Parts: sequence; C-alpha cells; structure tokens
Amino acid sequence: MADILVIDDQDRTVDLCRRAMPNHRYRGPARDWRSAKDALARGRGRIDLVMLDVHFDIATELLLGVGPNDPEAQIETAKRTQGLRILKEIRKLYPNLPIVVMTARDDLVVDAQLADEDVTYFVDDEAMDVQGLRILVSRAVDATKLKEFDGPVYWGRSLVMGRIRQKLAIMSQGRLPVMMLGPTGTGKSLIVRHFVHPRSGRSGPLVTVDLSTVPQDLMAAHLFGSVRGAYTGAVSDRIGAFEQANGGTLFLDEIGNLSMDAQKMLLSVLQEGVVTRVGDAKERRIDVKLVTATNEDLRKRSQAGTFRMDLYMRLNPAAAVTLPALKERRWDWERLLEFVTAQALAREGIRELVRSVSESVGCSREVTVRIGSGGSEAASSGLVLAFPERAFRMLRSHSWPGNLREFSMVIENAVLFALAEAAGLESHTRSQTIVVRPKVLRDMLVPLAEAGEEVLEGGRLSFALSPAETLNKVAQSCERQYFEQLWRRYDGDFGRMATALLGDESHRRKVQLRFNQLGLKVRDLRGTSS
Amino acid sequence: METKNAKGPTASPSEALLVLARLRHDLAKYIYFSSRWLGPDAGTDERLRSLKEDLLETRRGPEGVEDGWTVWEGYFPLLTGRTELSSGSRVDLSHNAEFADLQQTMLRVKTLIEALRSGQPLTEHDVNEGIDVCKSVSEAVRALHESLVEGADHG
Repeated sequence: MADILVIDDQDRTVDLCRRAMPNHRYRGPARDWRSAKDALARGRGRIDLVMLDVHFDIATELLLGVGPNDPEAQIETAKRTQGLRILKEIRKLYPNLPIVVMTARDDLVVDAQLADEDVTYFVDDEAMDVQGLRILVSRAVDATKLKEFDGPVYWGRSLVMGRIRQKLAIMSQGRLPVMMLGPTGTGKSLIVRHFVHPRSGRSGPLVTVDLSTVPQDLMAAHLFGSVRGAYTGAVSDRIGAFEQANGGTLFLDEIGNLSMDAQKMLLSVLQEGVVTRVGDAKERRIDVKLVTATNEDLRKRSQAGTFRMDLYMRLNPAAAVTLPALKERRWDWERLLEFVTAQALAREGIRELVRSVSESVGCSREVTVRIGSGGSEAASSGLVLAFPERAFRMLRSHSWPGNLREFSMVIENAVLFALAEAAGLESHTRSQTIVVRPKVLRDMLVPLAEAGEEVLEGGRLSFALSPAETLNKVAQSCERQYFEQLWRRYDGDFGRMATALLGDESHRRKVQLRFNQLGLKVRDLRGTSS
Repeated sequence: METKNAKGPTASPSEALLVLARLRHDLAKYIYFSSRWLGPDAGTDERLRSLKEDLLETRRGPEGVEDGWTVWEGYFPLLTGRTELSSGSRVDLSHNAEFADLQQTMLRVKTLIEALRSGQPLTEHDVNEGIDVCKSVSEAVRALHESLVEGADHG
C-alpha cells in the first residue's frame, strides 16, 4: 500500500483512483500549490507518490507565477501550465519524491530537466487506461522504495540524505579517500559496510579498524604490519590492516585517534601507494580505497598541531560527507520508525515471540506497523504493532544524543517488551493488535535523556524546523517548541518558566498567556509526558 | 480558422486556441473520464455508474457540480461569436464543419442527460451507446483543437 497525494483542482481523479486502485491510501485533492505544500508537510515524509494534474482552473490569487494585474492571456497560460510550476516547486523540497504528471501529451511544454528526472512520470491522461496507470503507480512507488534504503541503511526521502547518498555513490567509485563526519551513532560504519564498499567495484575485502580501541603504541603495527622483533612481543611477522584490505576498502573509524607516528606513516602510504611494515625496509604496493570517519573537528586539530595538516588535506576533506544527527531527520521520522521496527522484528529472539503470539491469536506471522490512529486491525491478516500517537510524539521529541544506534536499541527493547507482554496474557485477552505502551517508552527515554545532553543546557536549544507558508509561522513553530521544552524542563511550573524567560517569577501570567496564544495545551503536554 | 464576426474584432488565433484548450480540459477530458478507465470485464452497473459520472458530474470541484451540457453551454456563446472574449474580440466557429459535428453530438449528450435525470431505465445497449457518445465528444473536441493548432501553425 502506498500513500498517494493527488493535486488537482477537480475531485474526479482522486475519486477514480480510490475506485480503481483501492489498495492505496489517498490524500487530497490539494487544489493549489499552497495546500499541496501543506499536505506534503503534514505527510511527515510518508507520501509515497504524488499524482499531479496540469491544468488548474483556480482563482488567480492561488496561482503560482502570476498576479491579479497580469494580462488575461498570461493568467490563462499560468492556469494551463500550473501543474508544471507546482512540479518545479515540489522538486525544490522533495527531489526524490515520485510524481505522476497527468496531462494530454500534445498539451505539454515541459522543461527538459524535469522531463529527464527518473522520478517524474508523464502520463497522457487522454490515452492511459486503468491497467496502465496501476502498473505505472506500482513501478514508481517501488523505484522510490529501492532508493529509500540499502539493506540496513535507511536513507529516507529528505533532500539532505538524498544528496549524501548521491555523493557517496559517486565517491565510492573514485580513487580518492572518503571522509565521513557526523555525530556518533549516525550510521557511518553501516554506510561504509553496506553502501560504500559494495559500490566501490573492488573485489577485495572490507577491513574496519576502530582506532579508538587500538593502543597508541601498537597502532602503526596494527595498520601497517610488523616483522618479527620489531618491538617487544613481536614474535612473528604480522600483516597490517592495509595489506589485509588490499584490493578492497579500509575503513578507519575515529581517525582522530591516530597516533602521530601512524599519521606520518599513513601520509606516506597515501602519497606513495606503498606500505612498509614496522621494522622492515621492504615496500609493498597496495591498492586500497580508504574511508575515514570522525566526529572531531580535524581542521581545528590540525590548526592546533595535534593532527598533521598535510595528512588532513590528503584525506579529502573538501568532499567530506556529514551525516545529520537523528533529531535533524524530521522529514523521515515516521518511516524511519517503521524501518527500524521492521529490523527489530526480524531479529531472532523477537521472531520467535512473533511466531508464538500470532499462533496463539490465530493469525499470520506478518506484522504491520501502525503509527497513530491510521489503519485498522481488520485490514491486516497478521499482527498489528501499534505505536499510539503519544508514543510516536514521545519518540520524536526525544533528543537522541546516541542517534540511530540509541534509537534502534530503544525500539528493539520496546518491541520486545510489547510482544513479551502480549505473549504472557491470558489467551482470552490476546489481541491481533499489540500496543507499544508510552509508559514503557518513557521509562527507557528518561534515563537516556538524563545521561545525554540536556536540551536547554547552557542556554542551547534544538528545534525541528519544517517549511511553512510564512516566516511568521516558522518563528511561531520555534517559539512553540521552545515553550514546550521549557514547560517540560520546569515540570509545568509557569513561575520558573517566567524566571527563565523574563528573569522574574511574577511574570508567570504573561508567560501563561503566551503559552495559550501559541496553541499549547497543558492537557496535551501531560499526555505526552505521562 | 474561422474567427470572424461582424459584431467585433476577430480574436487572434492564439486567443481562440486558448478557449479551445480550456474546452478540451473542461469537457473533452472529463466527459469521457470514468468510462475510459473501465476494464474490459466491467459490468453494466459499473458502466452505468461511470456514464452517470461522466455526463451528470462532468466537472466536480469545490464550486460544485456541472453536467456535460452545462459545461458546453458555458463555452458555446464564446465559440460562436455571441459573447466577447475578455479582450473584447470574438471567436466564431459556427461555420466550421468539425464544430458543427460536435454540436450535433452534444445534442445527443443533452438527450442522454435528460434521460438519466428522469430516472428512466437504460438497457445495456443504451449504456454502451451513451459511453460511445461521451467518447465521440472527447475525441471531437481534441480533433477540433488539434486541427485549429495545425491551422494556426500553417496560417
């Protein structure tokens, strides 16, 4: 099943799609760009496909590209080509979202760039029949899903992740080193293993060395190898990671931990393409694709003299790829949760629990993940693992200092607990729907939040930003999040919030008034906190 | 292209084409919309439902519902020089043979709409014929638009 947004000034397309392709979920019709943009934003990254009409017979003030004072002919042309203008706007925000443009073929004057995109499909709506459309929609949705993840790597559909994927796909094949930056737990190792190395076209192995775990005095031998007697305890010749990775990929994680000696040797390897084992004079030619990762600022380190500037430059920092923290991947949240949950469900112990619960309920072992109130048990022949809206909001508002690693662990635990609870129920109370309880999540998230970086610590705040119609709305969204975070921080005490905001507890009523004006409701916040 | 009318200046070919393009979108597309999507195994009930949608709800949007004849009536005065375009010029296709054929087919549409509205039972043959009429209108508008485009290109 796919989530399809129909953008059309008329109702008939969406009605017909509902009838002809009832296996999908439809939103809309959005009748102009503004409502389409809102619908896409509300979709929280869950829209799989857009079906877009071209001719929009709508009020001039709703049209893109013209104003009420423009000549009639210009307005008419804008109406006839409105869909193509909307297409361009969507592409700026959602470059990877598949879009089916429905229009008469000879009515088209399409920008060559848009026509060339592999995620834009033009349909002659005067010739296409329902079978053809079904096939096209299915192909478009499947093609996107292929790009959405690579094995356990979830790229999602955001512009940022799309660009990172594209850049890494190109860099994987080149001879230059790849430098990956970003906070811990963002999936750097996973990407190297499941994306960079497989795309490098190299037949040799992938060798990973976490330099934070290798003692400084053994680092050179570990990386470049050593000969017998090179140092105390070197009782035999030993090949290093570079030689092991010959013909393949060497991933040096936490490169910032590289000892100064090893830095010098690595520079030489990169310059000459040869490796010399510690204690040996013989040079061995190697061909290795080097990938490095760090969450340190190596430029600063090299300026401070603790990391060699010449080596830093050799690691190709100009083309470095920075993976965003989990909290910045707001567009992908819902699908990311589904993806990580599906991964958790595939783990061995959990698979057993699924089997046991589904057998006791008498349904298939297939598990559908449901987030919020969408969908129903009746639509599924198997189990439904439900994250109530409150649980989802709780997960989304957590700061996730450990990023994907932490997120995956929490979800795996949550799934495990929910299934274990279901398995332990009396048979007559068992249900096809298994709920991930917000309380269970809260019990896991609170200690993590305490252990991690406090959102407001040192006056720093983090916001989840998403586009809005006006800057005022963007500002309001920030302010709303700010107030929400303060409210949580001070356990709903408006006096303390007033002190934090205005330096005086007596301004509590003013703060409470603003809180209400922002549309925040204590009842709702309590709901997400309990 | 015949766009002359004694009552006012003649519309430029591009102005006339714009009106035809709108007609193509508003009428040609939607009068044969649901029916075009019918599968080969669609039963009479499904075909009748599609026919009703195409004829009685040709345009359906936030402004309401318009049947096929109403849509045509909205364009007819514009295309026969009885109403000025917003520029003050006029388009008159009343002597165009393709337009005349289209007008004849639209009269059949009007009859069908009246029959559907009256609730009189339609046979399978009536339904199939009705769908054929919708298809004819759709094709006729497209053909008219295309021949005018061709005429404008060569003229």
